[in-house]
Amino acid sequence: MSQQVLPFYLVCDESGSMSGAPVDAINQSLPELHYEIGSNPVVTDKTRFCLIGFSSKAEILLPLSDLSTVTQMPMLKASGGTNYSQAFDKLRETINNDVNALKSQGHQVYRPAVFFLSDGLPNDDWHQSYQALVDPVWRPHPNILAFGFGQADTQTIQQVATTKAFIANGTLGPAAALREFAKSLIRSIVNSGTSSAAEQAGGATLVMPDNVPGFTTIEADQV
Amino acid sequence: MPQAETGTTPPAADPSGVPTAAAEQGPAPDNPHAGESPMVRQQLKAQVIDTRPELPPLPTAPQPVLPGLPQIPQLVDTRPSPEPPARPHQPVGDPEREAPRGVLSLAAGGKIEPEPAARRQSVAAGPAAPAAAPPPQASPLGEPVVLIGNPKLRSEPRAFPEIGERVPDSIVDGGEVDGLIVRAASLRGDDHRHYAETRQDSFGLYAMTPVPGGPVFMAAVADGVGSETWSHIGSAAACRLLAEEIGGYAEAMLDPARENRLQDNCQELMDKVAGRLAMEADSRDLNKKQLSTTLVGCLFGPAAPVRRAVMFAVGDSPAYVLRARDFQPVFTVEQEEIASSGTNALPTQIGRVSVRVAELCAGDMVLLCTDGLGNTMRTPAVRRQLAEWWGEPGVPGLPAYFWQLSFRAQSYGDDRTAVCVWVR
Repeated sequence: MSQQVLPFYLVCDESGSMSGAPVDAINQSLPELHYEIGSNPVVTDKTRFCLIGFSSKAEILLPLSDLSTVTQMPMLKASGGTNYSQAFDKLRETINNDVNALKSQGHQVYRPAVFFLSDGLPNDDWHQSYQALVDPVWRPHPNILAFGFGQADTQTIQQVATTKAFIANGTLGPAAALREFAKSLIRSIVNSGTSSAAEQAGGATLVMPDNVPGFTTIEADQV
Repeated sequence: MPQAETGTTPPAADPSGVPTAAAEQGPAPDNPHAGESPMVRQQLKAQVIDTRPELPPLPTAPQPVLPGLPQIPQLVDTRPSPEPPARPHQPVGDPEREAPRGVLSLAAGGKIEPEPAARRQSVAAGPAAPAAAPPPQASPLGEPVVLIGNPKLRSEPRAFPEIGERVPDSIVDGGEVDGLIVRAASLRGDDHRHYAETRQDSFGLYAMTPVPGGPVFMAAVADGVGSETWSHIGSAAACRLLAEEIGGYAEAMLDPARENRLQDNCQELMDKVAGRLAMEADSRDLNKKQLSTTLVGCLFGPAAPVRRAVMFAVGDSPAYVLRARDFQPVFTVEQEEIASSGTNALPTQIGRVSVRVAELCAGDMVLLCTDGLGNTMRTPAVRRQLAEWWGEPGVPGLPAYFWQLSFRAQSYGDDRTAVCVWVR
């Protein structure tokens, strides 16, 4: 039982300001993501998906799963504030548990990929939690792609990203932009799970979107 | 029994478990690359996290002792016990059981000839023996065994790839030269089969014109770099060009007296192959990188006085010596803890050529393969099963060899290529 596993985490802001069109757009996209990934045997054999929602608190909405075995996708519910520390702490704890569990089953685990989506300015001091999450000494530290829209601050989103940051540029409405976000997430998972897209690591290379319609790409802030 | 996907049926292919809203999206496109908005294959390589300490130790070959170029030491006392080990994945009709190979076979009770030298003499006295061997019994092989996980991906070709100079889904070859028995196969990975893409691995087998004391055989395996469209051309060309260029080096490479020049010779040889591969790219109006490929080769000397083999590699295609049912990696395994910029590859990024010399004895088997097989061999169950099939006394027939290499392994959808050379 030593499979190659590439875990994906969607960490999604569900604070009060996300209510209405934004949260609806994500919720409409989740079944699509489920179908695209879960019905593609090439991808589902290698990838796992986890959904974490955060507002004033953070919560695992879908534990790290093989999407071909998932029958129902959870929904986001908008309420509360925007606490990044909660999100990063929960994410770190979850990744740590997941990677340990996968490894104890004998799997080869590739570096997790995080898609982080937020629409607002965090109302907490999140830097310490963030440093723990990206600490290179912690072996499973993830690659983070950060997406900002609405009130999100460019510099903050840039700081959260370890690889690439994307800021909504107003060329699309929030709902349309978030649909594009979801599509880019699906494509990233599908292409990462497809060995022809890989360099030579046998299907475990993170393939990231270069551009996402409705968003401007910014290189991640170098720490 | 072949472990066809028994027990719980994976729901993957069954869209009934999908929420209605999603089902209305229609079927997933067969090829997610087609018509998508731009996705750049980032250089960022997903690093394996800390897998090394978790992995069971790879075969515990004693470290080479020869100064300069390392040698795989002879192991004389580690022959398997006469009792045949358990065969956990014994397939239906494993031909190695039913088709003893003349004088070289294990007796039914599993007695093993003690001395390598005696074996070589047996080979020399061999021609009359096959007539005495019982005829092989026909036996169906069934579906390939599942050795890792429960793959939802089916193992079957779909549409024919629409690409220039596509290569066959799979090829099998074999032969015998000067006491070396060769089996080789290159199989398209199930990912490529699913997406109707061509196989990118290649191998080459070259028997040399016999010269007293001179080289007798060369085998090569090449893995076209997955992200390059024309890498299947590159991998095939690399094998061919190596065969064309090695003639000028082969004798020197095998000469123990010139071992201090071996690294330079191998480096020069690979430079030549790379140069010609680059010319091949030019002649096709392609960028050099579009033909990117790894290359691992093994040059075999004559049986007497001692069978020397020189193994050399650019990139991450591994080689092993199977001795006493233990796969000993030939080249140092690099740490994958840290992000790497990808494997070395011809023609643009040769790096330092990995070179090893082995002195082989009867019963040894040299395996050259692509990482499509090598990566699965980190799983003990895979190594164990391959050692069962390919360890002494077994040299499978061609159909059985192809069937064995077709084993299923969830998440390992890469092309799989292996050349096995048994020493008699």
